[in-house]
Amino acid sequence: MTIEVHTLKDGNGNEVILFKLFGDLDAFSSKDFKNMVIDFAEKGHNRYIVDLSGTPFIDSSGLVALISLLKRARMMDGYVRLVGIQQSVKEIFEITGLDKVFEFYDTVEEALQAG
Amino acid sequence: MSIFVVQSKLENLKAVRDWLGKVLSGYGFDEKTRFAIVTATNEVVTNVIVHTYKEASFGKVGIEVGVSENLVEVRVFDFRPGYQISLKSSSDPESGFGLRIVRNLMDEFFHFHDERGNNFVLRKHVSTRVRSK
Repeated sequence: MTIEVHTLKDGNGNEVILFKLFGDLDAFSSKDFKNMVIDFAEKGHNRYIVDLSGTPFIDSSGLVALISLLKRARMMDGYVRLVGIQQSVKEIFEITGLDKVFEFYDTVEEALQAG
Repeated sequence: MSIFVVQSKLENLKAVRDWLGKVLSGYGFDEKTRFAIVTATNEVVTNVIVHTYKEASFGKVGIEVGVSENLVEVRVFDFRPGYQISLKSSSDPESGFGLRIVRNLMDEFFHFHDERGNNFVLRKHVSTRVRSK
């Protein structure tokens, strides 16, 4: 998996970290993502957008990595917004009930302007 | 029947998914059926790598696929006789999600331990209508 990191501003002028994931998010690749999440949270970041449009597969380990990010963001009054999720990946969120926990947007721009 | 054996390394999960997807494609199963079986099997193989071998690559994990008229059966097995593991609900959220995914996507799921090691059997009832050949 490749992870691109960008720093953007949301509609309120707050700094947002955009993670663009390319490849499957499974028990192997999610380790790198989890480590990256910890690094950013420890630096005080609390607003994140995760672009999953390049992720055709996610498993329970990938879900746990995203939950870890969400917990850290919410502990600091921030947010995690998921973008470009593919149908097969969405199904895994639905099966586990996490479709009611995360916010989903079609594009990065929509996620930035969501308030 | 098709069998695939890999070293117990998480980096081999992609190879397992690719292999299983190809086998199921070869039988003509549609994308939805392939997705369900591949995703559920991935969870079980991960469980074996993490819990049987603690991610130590000395071990091996096998995946056996059998297809009959209306049933696909996948057996995931390790090579550690006398070391019994299971995939069950626990306070560990990862295990809980994994089990939920497996139970939701497959029709039957059970575990047994024999003289060769642990065996996890996943079954999905399939209609001939979902097969393209």
